[in-house]
Amino acid sequence: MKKIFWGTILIIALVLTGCVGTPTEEKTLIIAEQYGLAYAPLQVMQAKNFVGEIDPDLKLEWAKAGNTTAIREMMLAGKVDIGFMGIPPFLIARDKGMDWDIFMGLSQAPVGLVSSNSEIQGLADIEGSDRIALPQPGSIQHILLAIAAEREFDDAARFDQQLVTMKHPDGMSAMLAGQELQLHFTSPPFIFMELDEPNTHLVLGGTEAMGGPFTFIIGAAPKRVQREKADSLAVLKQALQKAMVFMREEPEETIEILAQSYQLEPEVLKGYLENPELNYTDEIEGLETFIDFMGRNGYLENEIAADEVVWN
Amino acid sequence: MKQLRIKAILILACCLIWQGVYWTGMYSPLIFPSLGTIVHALGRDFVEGALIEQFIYSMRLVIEGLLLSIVLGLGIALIARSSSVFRSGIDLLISLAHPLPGVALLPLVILWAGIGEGAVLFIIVHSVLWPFLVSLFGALDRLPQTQQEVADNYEIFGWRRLIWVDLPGSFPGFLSGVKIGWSRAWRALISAEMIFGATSGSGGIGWYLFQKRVFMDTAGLFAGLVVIMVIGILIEGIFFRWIEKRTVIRWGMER
Amino acid sequence: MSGFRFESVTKTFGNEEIFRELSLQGAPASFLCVVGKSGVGKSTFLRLLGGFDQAEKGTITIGGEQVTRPQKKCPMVFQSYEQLFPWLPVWENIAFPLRVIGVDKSERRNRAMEALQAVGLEQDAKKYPHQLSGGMKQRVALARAWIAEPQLLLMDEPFGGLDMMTREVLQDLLISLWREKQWTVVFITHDLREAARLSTDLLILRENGSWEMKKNELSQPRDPYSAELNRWIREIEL
Repeated sequence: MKKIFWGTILIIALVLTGCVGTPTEEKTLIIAEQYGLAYAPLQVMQAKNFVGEIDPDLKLEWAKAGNTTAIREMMLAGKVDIGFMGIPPFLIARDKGMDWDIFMGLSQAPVGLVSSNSEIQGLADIEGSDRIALPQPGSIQHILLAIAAEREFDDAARFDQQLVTMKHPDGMSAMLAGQELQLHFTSPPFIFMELDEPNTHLVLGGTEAMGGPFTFIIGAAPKRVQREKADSLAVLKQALQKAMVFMREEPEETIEILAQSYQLEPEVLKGYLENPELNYTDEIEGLETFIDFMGRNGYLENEIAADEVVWN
Repeated sequence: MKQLRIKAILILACCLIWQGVYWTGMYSPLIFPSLGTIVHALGRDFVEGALIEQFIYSMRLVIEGLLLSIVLGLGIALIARSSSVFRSGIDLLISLAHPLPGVALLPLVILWAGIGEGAVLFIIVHSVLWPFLVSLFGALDRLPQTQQEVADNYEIFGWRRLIWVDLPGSFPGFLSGVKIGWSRAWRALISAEMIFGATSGSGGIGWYLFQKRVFMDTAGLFAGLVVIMVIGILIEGIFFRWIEKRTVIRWGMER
Repeated sequence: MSGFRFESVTKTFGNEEIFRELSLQGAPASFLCVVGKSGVGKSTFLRLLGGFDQAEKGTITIGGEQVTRPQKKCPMVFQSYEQLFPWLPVWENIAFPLRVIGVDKSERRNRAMEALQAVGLEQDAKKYPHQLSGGMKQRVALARAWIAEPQLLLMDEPFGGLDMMTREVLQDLLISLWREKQWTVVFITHDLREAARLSTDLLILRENGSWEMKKNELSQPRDPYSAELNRWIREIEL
């Protein structure tokens, strides 16, 4: 009897320690990232160990997430310190009371709405029965589409019931299958791969939708991390900035590193990276436009001031 | 009646525990909203939103998918009884297809069924048909020998055998297959709607839940879950119970 | 009512021969009881006759036609209560053979009620099998078996699981019905007293695959406890 009793206590204790999700004593940063060329500086930084160069004690742990919602939930639960995502998903979280700030931009990228239907040349050609694939409602892709819809039809929610939620690879294979799905709002490298196909064309570009340049992916961190791990955060930012410089100055080696992790041919990758709209910079552009649009159309409920959400 | 009272007390207890946890503030209100905000979200979405429409739409799809699976299942059972080759083939198909979640077959689904209602129905049928067949075959395989010999004695075969003797005889298994199918259908519908979105009008409950999640309206999300739970309790407690009273209970065939 | 005939029938079970060259005849309207020790093959005999099983050698005919599979004109009353369909009320169970041959509902209902009266169950027409006692269930099975004017009635220890009193009542019922309807009956029992009461002919199956046919010439009415009957029983070697 006694053995069973203590055995049970031991098991419960072990299980409970597993439930505790707070970061460990040593210096670590747990980072959530997603798949795509827009996250390239993260790969380069890791490969060249820029973090180690600046601060050998800082350990990085990585969590790959399927989508932005998953990243947000991981951050909410405290399982992850840093998340990289688009500005609209960040704003939605912020609007709902999450005390997160943007600590840097990561990339600007050519995103856009691709179609395999030659009869769809502009948004006006899209009928109510056409479905549009994109990563999820509330994503930057959705918001860009909505901004363009507001500008052209004065109806931001025009396409909201026509969305099909698909990860970029799934959306691409559905498009290329040539069946029901003929519209896909996507980002690099998928947008490049889709446009390489013979019967596809760009219906709406990201910059065109936005009315100007904008940051595609930003890095966000909760106030907790800003307080407790301020120096680590600064180190991360520095290391990423180094990676961006490296990518500009050493294109050959960059291609080598990235070709491996993205499983793309170096020649093909070179072509993608040379696209003028693909920029890796820590600047944050377009924040006010997003806040303004989303507030106006009910995607955000509260007022947010642009400078309040940026960390320095 | 006593059963009902116990269940009501349990539900009340859960609500109290929930609200208690909320008050401790252990978790962010975005993960663990208060009962008040959940109820408020529920009311708001019923009145202002399209929740009723969405619920009816989802219900319709679930019923369609379930009926389709039952008809297919019965047809397959009929053929399988006359042909052992067919039966082996189906058994193989079941063991291959059953463990696969419909959503994992996404590229195939899109290829065969498109991206609209058809795809959602496809995923529902895929999630219901295999466990339903397992239940049905299980029951048909275990029919009492004497009963079968009586049917042989009166020279009843084929279609008549299935409808007059085998199906009524295996009704308990058939019914539990349908009950399982019902809950599988709901799960499949919700995950399918999360992908395929509003396949008609403002979509269904799965789409509602998904939108709540991506726009971080956690209270609304839980409100949607409450709706689904209530539906589940009502259907099982009332509808299926009603059927059972008129069939397996009346016939003394409860297992 | 048909007669039946076994011609040189041999049936083996694994290595054992249950019957060897069994040849016998059953006259129309006769009541044959099959007796023997447990496991000797009584049920097998009945199943062969009913077409539920096949013999290795020999032929079995009913009314001149060879038996290859179960037939609706030779209904069997089984010992197991599972022979009734639990989802049908009593009268529908009884009327089932009529439904199979396409008789319409109201005529089925009438004939079922007649049959119910004959077996003393008019009150229970709408009940379901699970609500009946063992004896009642067997009465229902009996009624079902003769409702469609069978050529041959096969009964596999139908009263086996019942208490003595119920058995005697059912035996009386069976005798009176048989006298009226003049069926050919083959009835298996392990109870010699029952065989003495019911049979016109007796088939004794023995362990070595041998068998013996006897006529039952006891005078009517057959009191189950009379000295004459007891003597008759004692003379039987199983």
